[in-house]
Amino acid sequence: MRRRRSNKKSQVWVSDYTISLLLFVLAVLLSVKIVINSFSADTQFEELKTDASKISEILLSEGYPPDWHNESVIRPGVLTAKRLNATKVINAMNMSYTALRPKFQTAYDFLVVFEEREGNLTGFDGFCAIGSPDVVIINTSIPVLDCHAPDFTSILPYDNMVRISRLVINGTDILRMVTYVWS
Amino acid sequence: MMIGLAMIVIIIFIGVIYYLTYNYSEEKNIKRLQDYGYSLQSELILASQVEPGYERVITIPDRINNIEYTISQTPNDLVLTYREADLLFSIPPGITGSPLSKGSNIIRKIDEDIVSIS
Repeated sequence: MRRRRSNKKSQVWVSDYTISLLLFVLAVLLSVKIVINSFSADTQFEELKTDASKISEILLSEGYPPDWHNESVIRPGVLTAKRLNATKVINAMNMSYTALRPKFQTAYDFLVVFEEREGNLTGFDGFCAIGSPDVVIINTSIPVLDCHAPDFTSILPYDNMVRISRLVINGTDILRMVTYVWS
Repeated sequence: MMIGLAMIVIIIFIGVIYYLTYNYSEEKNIKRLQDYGYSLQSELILASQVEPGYERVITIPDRINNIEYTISQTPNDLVLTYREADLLFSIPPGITGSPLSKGSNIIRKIDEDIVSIS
């Protein structure tokens, strides 16, 4: 009789132990996941937003020097007298990505395009976008280059992406300057 | 045995948190210095764009949010150094005088093409 009682007690103890251990491990795993998420995703997304704002702000300025070219550029703004300057846009599109990225003080990849009202992209002298050469721009080149849309499948998988649209005057038209920043 | 297992788990947990916190704070420090360097660059660009007679006093702190850093200048760049990392910011041509340093700095536009720092 005594032996039976003691066996039952030990069985209760083992199940208690197992359940508490499982709960403990589950709690630790959840805590680690929460900590990792709070340190990476939110922070990175905030930084992407800040960098996207900074890039679009620099681009929508005159830049420095005001008549900058690829060798003299400090801030690659694309406006002159608050309107889009095609020469500056072409210069920015023509600059190598490795030279251009430090000018925006960003550690993330970016792409800037100019959209027309209908959604098609505006091309500038054979160029479609400023920024990452990894993104394919869908276009037709016959009879002349006609830019359509960026295709981001080539940079998959990315963790986060931010898109900021700002309006800009180009001659008598209004274009949408769209800045994409991702990590 | 149970206490030993719990201790191991807790030590691993603390290690992961320490590693993440350290990386996070290092990234934040670099970001803060980048922002600060960008604003100093903006000061110099502004000085080179305005009319002669412009004068502005800026104070560069010894530490930024408790971050130890050094500041130096080459003919083309302003350099902020944090540990092993050099952060470079292009500066306009025609900047003369002593380089920007910690403490009080006076930026003067003395001529159409010359900005002086003292």
